[in-house]
Amino acid sequence: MFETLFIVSVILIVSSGIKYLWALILLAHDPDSLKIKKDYSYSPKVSVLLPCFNEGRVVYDTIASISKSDYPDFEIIAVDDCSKDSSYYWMQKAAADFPNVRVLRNAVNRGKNKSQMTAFRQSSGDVIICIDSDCIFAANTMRELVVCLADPTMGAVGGRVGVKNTNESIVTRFQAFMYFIGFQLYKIPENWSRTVVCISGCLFATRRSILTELEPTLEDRNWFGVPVAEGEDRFMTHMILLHGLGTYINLDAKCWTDVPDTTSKYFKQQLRWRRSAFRDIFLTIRLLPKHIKDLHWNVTFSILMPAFSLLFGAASILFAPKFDPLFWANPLPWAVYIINSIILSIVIGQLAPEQKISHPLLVMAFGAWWLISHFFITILALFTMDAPDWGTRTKKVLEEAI
Amino acid sequence: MIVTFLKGLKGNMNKSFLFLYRVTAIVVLYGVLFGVGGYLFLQGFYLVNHSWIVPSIVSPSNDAVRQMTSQMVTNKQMLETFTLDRNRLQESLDTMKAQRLELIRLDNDLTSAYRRKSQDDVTAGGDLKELIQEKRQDITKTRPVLNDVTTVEDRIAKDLEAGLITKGDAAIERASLTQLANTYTDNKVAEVLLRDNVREKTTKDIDTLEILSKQADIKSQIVQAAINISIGEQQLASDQKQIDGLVKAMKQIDQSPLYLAVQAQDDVKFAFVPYDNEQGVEVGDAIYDCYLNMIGCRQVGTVKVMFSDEQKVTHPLFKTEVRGFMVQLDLTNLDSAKSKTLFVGHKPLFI
Repeated sequence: MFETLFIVSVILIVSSGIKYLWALILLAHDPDSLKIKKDYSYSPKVSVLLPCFNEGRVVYDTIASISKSDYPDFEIIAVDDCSKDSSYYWMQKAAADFPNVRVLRNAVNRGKNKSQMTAFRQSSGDVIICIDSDCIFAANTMRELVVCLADPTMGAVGGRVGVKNTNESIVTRFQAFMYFIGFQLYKIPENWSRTVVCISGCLFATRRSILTELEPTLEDRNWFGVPVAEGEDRFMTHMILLHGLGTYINLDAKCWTDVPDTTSKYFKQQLRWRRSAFRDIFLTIRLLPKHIKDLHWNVTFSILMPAFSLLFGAASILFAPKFDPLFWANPLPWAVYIINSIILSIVIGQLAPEQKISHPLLVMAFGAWWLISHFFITILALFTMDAPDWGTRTKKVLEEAI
Repeated sequence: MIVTFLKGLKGNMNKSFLFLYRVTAIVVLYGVLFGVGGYLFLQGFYLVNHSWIVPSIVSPSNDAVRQMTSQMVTNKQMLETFTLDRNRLQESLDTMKAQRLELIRLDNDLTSAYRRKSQDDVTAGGDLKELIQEKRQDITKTRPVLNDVTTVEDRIAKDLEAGLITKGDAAIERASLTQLANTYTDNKVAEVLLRDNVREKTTKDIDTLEILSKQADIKSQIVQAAINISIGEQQLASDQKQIDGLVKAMKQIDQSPLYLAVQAQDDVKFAFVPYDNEQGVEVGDAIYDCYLNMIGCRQVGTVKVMFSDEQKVTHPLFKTEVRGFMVQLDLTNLDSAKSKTLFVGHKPLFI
């Protein structure tokens, strides 16, 4: 039984891994198929929604960077979700320093999802861009997102998220690897069919009409009565795909985020993401049978394969010690890690010099922990689906000097 | 009203589900926590602990025992066959060696006899040559006398006619003459015979050649016997090697734990002792069986016999191959032989 489970896991993970190979083939032989038609004459009003909780001064830098956008017509709606630090002060300062910035504050802590919807209701743009409060944006990011939405079949567009604090710790270096792989390789096949299954909440552009339609559902998201505060990006992407609209990652739209710099923060973030992934699996189980005939086959593949890989992978980690407790000592994964790290560090250094990773071999040692932690994260996520919080920022209590 | 009722029902169902979900979550998460913690502790425990042994029960009907029984029977048969062959070969070799010695002795006798005969022939040949010379001289001297016989016979006839002698005297005188002629002839014959004897004594005659031929035959037989003995000795050495190997194998089997099972009527309880845990294991040491493989330990027997043969088993936890040796256990609690591990010498956590 254990062996069968392990083999199934390997098959699923390999199937999922086929996407990497597929991406490389597309990049090498048909790069034009990955490029979306952009209409730079399309310039509707944009509303940037920025929910914030315990970000401190970082939120000011975020607003500053988005304010310096070269896009002609936009507004920024920032909502403070009762931060316990100086975030609200910095948001107000940003409103004072930059035009078209409005700052709101929730009466009580309501979570990212509801804060975002609060901002949405206050917005007036035809295109809505949801961003994270710790990101720095390139000047052309807003434009690059909007021009892709000129195509009426496109429902949502995302951008490439880079890591701002790449060399801060081993954990951040490792995430720089993962972000790079995620955006530069893993999403490529999804981009090919315009069916990206998860557009990052760091940089998520959609039409007002779509968000208006999704608003009640988004507001009502709950886990058997417990409001759901995370994973709105994955949920919105999923719903947009089910509406038969396209989703796309425009790699020319760039932003950089601060990734968790400690293992515990990273664990919490992964836990939040994993819960979000499970919600997506349950949503898939609930809705996919009804929509499957209308969906591109790549959507089904992209939604199902990672989900089942996740479950079977975790199960195989659980049962593997039963038949080979020393399987972690197998030199093959380590050899793969080392080779991967060498190749990727070279590639990242070439394609994203600002994210050049120091000590790549050391970083890959963290990969072993990452693999093991996946087991615990998966189990913990599956049994804490009723936890409503802001993930990595929940317990951040800073009294910064103003 | 119905909507309110349905909302209330849904709310209650959600609450019930959440309650069950949270209870399940607590059970599962604590289960995983304790499971993983326990697993890691167990791994660490077996890395640090050096008193664990792995019990095993071997019954006479065990496949390995049956295989060993079959192996023993085959070995015994082969040993008997080889021993018989070796003894026969040894007897045959002894006979061949005795025959070879006889042939060598005969060869030596023949050589001595031949030498003696040759020396005698040389001496006799020389003497005979001298006698031939003397005989020739005698013949030469007798010849003129015989030439005068006719004259003497004429004189006898004339004397008889003249009546000077009687017939009897004449007959006597004639007989003397005949005797002389015969003697002459005999001398010539003797000379020829002597010459023949000399030739026999001074050259290799047929008889000598026959003797030499026989001696050559004997020498050939001696060489052939030596070759046969050499081949036989090689075969004997080979047989002896096989016998030594089989005897060694039989001794090893005798000393192996399974042999006990072969001999025994009932199940025999053994335990595998890894080399890492070898120190301190002696005959008579106490054996402990524990709950959860580490706590609540109680003495269940002693070490009865220690075997020196190396054994390999799979580690009960790490699933790796472990080298060590077997000990026979004298268990007071027979069920302990079914435990995953036992401990020798002392309780592992002293509880």
